[in-house]
Amino acid sequence: MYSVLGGPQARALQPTFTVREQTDASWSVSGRRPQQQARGVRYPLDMRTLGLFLVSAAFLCADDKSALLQKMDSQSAHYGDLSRKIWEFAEVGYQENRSADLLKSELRSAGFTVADRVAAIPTAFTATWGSGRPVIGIMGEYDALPGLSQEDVPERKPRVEGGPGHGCGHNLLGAASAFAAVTLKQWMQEKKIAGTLRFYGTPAEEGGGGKLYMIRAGAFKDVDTVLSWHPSDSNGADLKSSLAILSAKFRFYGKPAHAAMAPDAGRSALDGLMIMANSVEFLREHVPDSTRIHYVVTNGGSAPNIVPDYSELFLYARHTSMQVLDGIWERILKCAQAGALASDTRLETKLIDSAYNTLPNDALSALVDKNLHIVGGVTYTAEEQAFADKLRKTLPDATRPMGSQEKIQSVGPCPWPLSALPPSYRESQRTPGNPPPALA
Amino acid sequence: MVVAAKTLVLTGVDLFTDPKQVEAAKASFQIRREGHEYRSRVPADQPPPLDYRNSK
Repeated sequence: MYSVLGGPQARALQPTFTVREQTDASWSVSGRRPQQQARGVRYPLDMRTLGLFLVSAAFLCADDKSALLQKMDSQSAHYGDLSRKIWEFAEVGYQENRSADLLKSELRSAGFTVADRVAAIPTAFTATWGSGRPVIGIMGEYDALPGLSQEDVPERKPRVEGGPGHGCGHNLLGAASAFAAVTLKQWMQEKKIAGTLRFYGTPAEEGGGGKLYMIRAGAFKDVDTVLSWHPSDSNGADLKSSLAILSAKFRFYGKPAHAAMAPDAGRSALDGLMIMANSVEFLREHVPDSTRIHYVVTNGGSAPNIVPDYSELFLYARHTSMQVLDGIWERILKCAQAGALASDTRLETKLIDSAYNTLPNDALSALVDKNLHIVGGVTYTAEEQAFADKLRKTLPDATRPMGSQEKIQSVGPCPWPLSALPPSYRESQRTPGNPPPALA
Repeated sequence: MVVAAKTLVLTGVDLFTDPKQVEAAKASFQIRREGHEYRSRVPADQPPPLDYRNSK
């Protein structure tokens, strides 16, 4: 979902099935390079010594990297346990108390300073180590989805009937990002590296707009660069964008009455909701093809013999351009007003989320791509392979061959060269690496 | 998840040891956001919807 301004998303293996949100960004690496890298640099003769020094510094860095990778192999089981615990907690947006606490205590005991309740959200936090510039952030999410409770078996089997579950791999997301943060902190301390490292515990990624409210509270104000990733069915860094989203809860308030004895005395909140939903269905024909509108009825009344005095519709609308979406949204609001007007009920609209389509970052995606190739993919054991194969058979297209997790997706240039990008793709971002004045 | 964690670490090493990488990231960001301002559509005084997963 979500995604990161100035931040690349290195997508990595999700060993269970994945529900991909449209708002999740995937990134490809553009062939375009920042101008300063393209410029030729003239070295004076006496720079050769410095050249040699730089080469040895590069070797040191490569040594550091391979040592770090080896060290991480020996510690990965612990973070696997962490991920498993969060997967079992399965807490939905803004209710991720145990999941956030687990990550907080992990980071606190590794020496990070935890700032709690960022933006007055009980499950939003930051964990910071170090001082000075640069300030580098790593995103961690941990919310589950309603109704997706699942045992760790390759067929549908809820742990708790109707309960929430991790269908999108946010259990992995938070745990892997914490793993990275702790490892980086230890390296910085050991090598006396200057700068600030900050883990962002970002709740309610699934439609609750956690990052939006953290941005508003200034949590990203001083950060230079933010890194993020999302579980997927292949490993790669690319430059794709996503769909901008607006979401709201539409609440209708009517007058209750006995539906048989005195229906004339009642004003049905459900009528209002249904008129709105029908109007949205008519609207669907007259918006651009690439629009997505989806909704659920989160409250439709309590009993057939009571005229419902309250109803609630939770609706998302998405488009590649936030500007186009603004226009569509105006018309959705009119559909809601029509519902209230026709049913003689009162309407209350509460915006929940507002996120731009992802702004790809060419330089960071290229950097992530380079490092992803150093790390390499995943080789499954025979047991894991068999599990994955059983999972595959539950997919709608069960004939699709198994993909490879061993190779890193080779990434081509951005599907839209910068000059050809529609305005929407150059529009803006969801979270800041360097917030615009409006946010400061 | 280990692939992701390792990739984040190696990228973090690059960003902390090479200021040019951070500058390049910022330059990329500015190029793509040129002419566009971030503006949240959620009213500035609206508190976070902490109960959005509950229905009344």
